Amino acid sequence: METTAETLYAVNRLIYFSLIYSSGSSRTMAQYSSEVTELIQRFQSQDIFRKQVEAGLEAMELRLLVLEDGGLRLSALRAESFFAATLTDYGRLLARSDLKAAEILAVHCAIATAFFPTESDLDAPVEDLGAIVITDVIDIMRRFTQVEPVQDDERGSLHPQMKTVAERLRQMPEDNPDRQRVGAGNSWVELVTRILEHMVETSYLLPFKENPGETEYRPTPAYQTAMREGIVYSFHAFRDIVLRSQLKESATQGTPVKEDKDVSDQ
Amino acid sequence: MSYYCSSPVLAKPQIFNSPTHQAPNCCGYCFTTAGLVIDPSAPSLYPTFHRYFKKIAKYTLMPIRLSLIDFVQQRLPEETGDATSPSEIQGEEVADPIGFETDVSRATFSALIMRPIYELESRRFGQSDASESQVWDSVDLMWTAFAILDVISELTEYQVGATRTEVVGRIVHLIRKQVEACKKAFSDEVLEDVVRKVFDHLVNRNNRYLPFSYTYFNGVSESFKSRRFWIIKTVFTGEGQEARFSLTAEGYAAYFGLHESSALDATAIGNLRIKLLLDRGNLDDAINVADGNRKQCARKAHEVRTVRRLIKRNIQTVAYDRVEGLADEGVNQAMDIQKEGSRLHNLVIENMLGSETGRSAFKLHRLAEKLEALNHSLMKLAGELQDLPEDYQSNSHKLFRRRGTGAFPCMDEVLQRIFRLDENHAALIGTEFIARIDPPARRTLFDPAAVIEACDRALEKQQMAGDHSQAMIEVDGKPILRFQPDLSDQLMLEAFEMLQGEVVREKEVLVSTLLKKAAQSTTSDLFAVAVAMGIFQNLVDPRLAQKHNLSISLFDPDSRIAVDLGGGRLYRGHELRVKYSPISLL
Repeated sequence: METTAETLYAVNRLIYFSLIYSSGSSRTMAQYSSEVTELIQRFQSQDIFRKQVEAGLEAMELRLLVLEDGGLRLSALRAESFFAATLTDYGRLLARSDLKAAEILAVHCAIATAFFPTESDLDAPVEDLGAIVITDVIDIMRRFTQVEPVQDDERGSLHPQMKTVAERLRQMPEDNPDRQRVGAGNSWVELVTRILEHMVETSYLLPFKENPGETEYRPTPAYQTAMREGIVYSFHAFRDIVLRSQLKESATQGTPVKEDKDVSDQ
Repeated sequence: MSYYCSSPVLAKPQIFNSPTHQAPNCCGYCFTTAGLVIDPSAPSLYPTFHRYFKKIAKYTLMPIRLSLIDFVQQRLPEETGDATSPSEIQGEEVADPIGFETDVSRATFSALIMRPIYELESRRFGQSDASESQVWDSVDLMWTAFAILDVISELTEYQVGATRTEVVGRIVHLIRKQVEACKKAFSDEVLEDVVRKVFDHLVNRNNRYLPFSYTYFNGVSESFKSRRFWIIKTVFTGEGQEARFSLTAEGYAAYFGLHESSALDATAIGNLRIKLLLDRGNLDDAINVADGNRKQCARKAHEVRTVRRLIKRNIQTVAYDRVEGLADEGVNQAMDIQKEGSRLHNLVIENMLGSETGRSAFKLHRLAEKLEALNHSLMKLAGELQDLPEDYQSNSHKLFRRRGTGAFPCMDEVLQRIFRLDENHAALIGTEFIARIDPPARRTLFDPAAVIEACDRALEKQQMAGDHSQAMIEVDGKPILRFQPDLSDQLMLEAFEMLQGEVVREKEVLVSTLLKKAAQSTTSDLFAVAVAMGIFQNLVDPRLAQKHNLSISLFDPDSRIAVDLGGGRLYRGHELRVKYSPISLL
C-alpha cells in the first residue's frame, strides 16, 4: 500500500469531515461540501483509498455505520474509545449514577420500538415510519414494565438485592410535575424528554411542532442506521450475559430468596 | 406395612397398603411408614407428616428415591418417639413455622399503607409561621387526606387522572367548614395552601414523587424487607399541561380500610353489610356502605377501561384468558351483586312503606336512591365486561398481521430482554450501547472545567439517594484539616493600616522604602510579607486601591530592586511608586 503525503492528507481530511458530519453540525459542513463530495467519490471508486480510510478509522477507534452523501456516518467503536459518547453527554445530572445507563438503554429501546414496531421497519424507508410523540414511548414502557412480573418465577438466578431494569422503572414515577429538576431524569417523562432532546441535538430525530404544546418526532436515516447497530448489539449482549450467568449458576447452586414486589402497577 | 403418599394430585395425603398404588402422576412423595402406627382417623397428623416428608424430599432427586426409602427406614425407628410427638418435629423445623407461631408480618405489611397518612400529623409541628400554625391546628389533617383520596376516586371514574387544581378546588370548601367549626376565619389562599401541602405529602412530592418506602420485619423469612408503594401516583397522559394523579391499589386499600380485596368482592361484602345494617335499623351506616359500593364499581370500571385501551392499542400484550376471565367471572359476579342489590332495594322500599317516622322514611328514601344508582352502575359495568371479549375479537385481526422476516431481531423481543436484565448488566450494556449508537462525542483537548466537573460528579455521586441506600458511617474518621493561612486577617489589616498611614503621611512612597520599613517592624516575622501582599492586592485590584486612596504605578521600567523581607524571603522585581490619590468627588 503506497502512501504519499497527498493521500495521507485526503484520508485524514475525510475522517475529519466525517466527524463533523456525524456530530450533526450541517452548518459547518456547508462550506466544505464540494471537497467532501470529491472525497466521497474517491472513497467509493478507489479501493486503496477506501482501505486507508478504514485503517485510519480503526486507528482512531471509530466505527463506520454507513456511507452517506454528506460524509461517513461514524460512531465510537466501543465504550472505552476516546470519542465514545457517555452519560455526561446526555446531561450532567444524569451522569450522577452509572446505573442510569440502564434506564437510558431501556428508554432508547422503547423509542426504537415506537419507531420500528416490526423488524422489517429497520430496513423500511424513513418516510414510511411516521412520527411519534412522548405518549407513545410512555405507553410502550408501561406495557413492558407490566409484562415483566409475569415471567418473574423464571428469574430465580438473580441476587435478591439486584433489581431488574423493569423494577427500576416501576419504582420511578411517570411524571414529576415539579419542573425545576428536569435534567436529573427522575421520572419517565423526564428521561424520555431528555433522550429525545439529545437525539434532536445529534440530528437523529427531527422535531415538528404541529399542535401547540405537542412535539412530534420523525426519524432520520442516520438514526435508523445507528439503531440497526444498536439493536443487534443489545440483542447479542443479552445472550452473552445470560450464557455467562448460566455458567456461573451451574458452578454455584443456591436457592436465593425472592424480594417483595409491591410497587403498585397502576 | 402401610405407605404414605402426599402426592399433590391427591386431595389430601393418604395411606396405602401397597407401594405401587399408582395414583395418576404420582410425584414420588410415597414413603413407607415402616411400621409406624398412623391412625387415619387422626387427620391432624397429616400436615406434620406431609411437611416432614417434603422436607426430606426437597434435598433429594427422583432417581435416588429408593435409597432414600432405605434411609428413612433406618432412621425412623430411632426417631419413633419424635415422629409420634409432632411438637418436637416442629422444633426441628424452624424454617416452616406457619400456623404455630404467631406472626404479625401480614398485619404489619398491611398497616404500612396507612403510614403516610398517619405521618401527616407530624406536619403540624413544622409550621414556622404563627398564623400558619393556627390554620394547621384547626384542620383535621387525616380527614383532609381521606377527602383527597375520595375526590380522586370520584374524579377518575370518567377521566384518566385528576389534576392537582381540581382536587384542591374541591376540598377547600370542605376545609372551610372545619375552620368555621373552630370559630375561625382564614382566606382561601391559606386554606388552599394547607390542602396543597397535604396533597404534596400524599404524593411524596418531597421525595421526587417516588414511592413511599418503609422497612418492616418479616417474621416468616426472619429478615427486614421493604415495602414500596404509592397511594397517589402520577400518570402521564400527554394531554394538557397539568400533571394528573390517580389512586393505586394501595390508595384504594388505604381509603376503604385495610382489608385489601378486589373491587367486586368488596361490593358483594358491602351488599351483605347493607342487609345486616338494614335488619338492625342502622340506616346511616347502610347509606355509607352503599356509597362505598358505588366507588368500588368505579374502581372496577377503571380496570376495565385500562384493559380495553390495551386491546385497542396493542392486542399482543393482552392475554385472552384474562379477558375471558374478566368477562365470565366479572359478569357473573356483577349480575349476582346486582340481583342482591335489587333484592335490597325491594327490602328498603318495603321498609319505607312500613315506616312510621318521617325521619327514617327520608333516610330509607336516600338509601333506596343510592341502591338504585349502584344497580345502574353495576348494570353498566356488567355490559362493559361483556363487551370485552367482543372488543378483543374485533381487534384480533391485528394478531395475524404478517411479520416481516428481516435480518434484525424483533424489537419486542429485544425490549423484553432488556427489561428483564438486572441493573448492573443493563448499565454496562447501556454505556456500550450509547457509545455505539451516538455519533462520536466532541472532546475538548484541554478543559479545566472538565476536571472541576469530574470532581463535582464524584461528590454528587456520593449523595445519590436512590442507588446508594446504605449510608456510610465512618467510625475512625479524622476531622478534615482546614487550611489556615499564615497571613492572618489581623496581620493583613495591620499591614494595610501601615501602608495607608505611610502613604497619607508621605504622599508618595517607593516600594523599597516601604518594605524596608516594614521589615524592621517587630510585630511579626511575616509583617513585611503582609505589606508586600497588600501592595500586590492594591496593584491587581483597582477597586481596592481606590478604597484605600492609593494608586500604584511603575517608577522606572529599568530599575529593579531586591529587598530582604526577613525569614529567608526576598522581594525581587520592579521598583513601584505608591501615591496618595484621594477620589475627587467632582
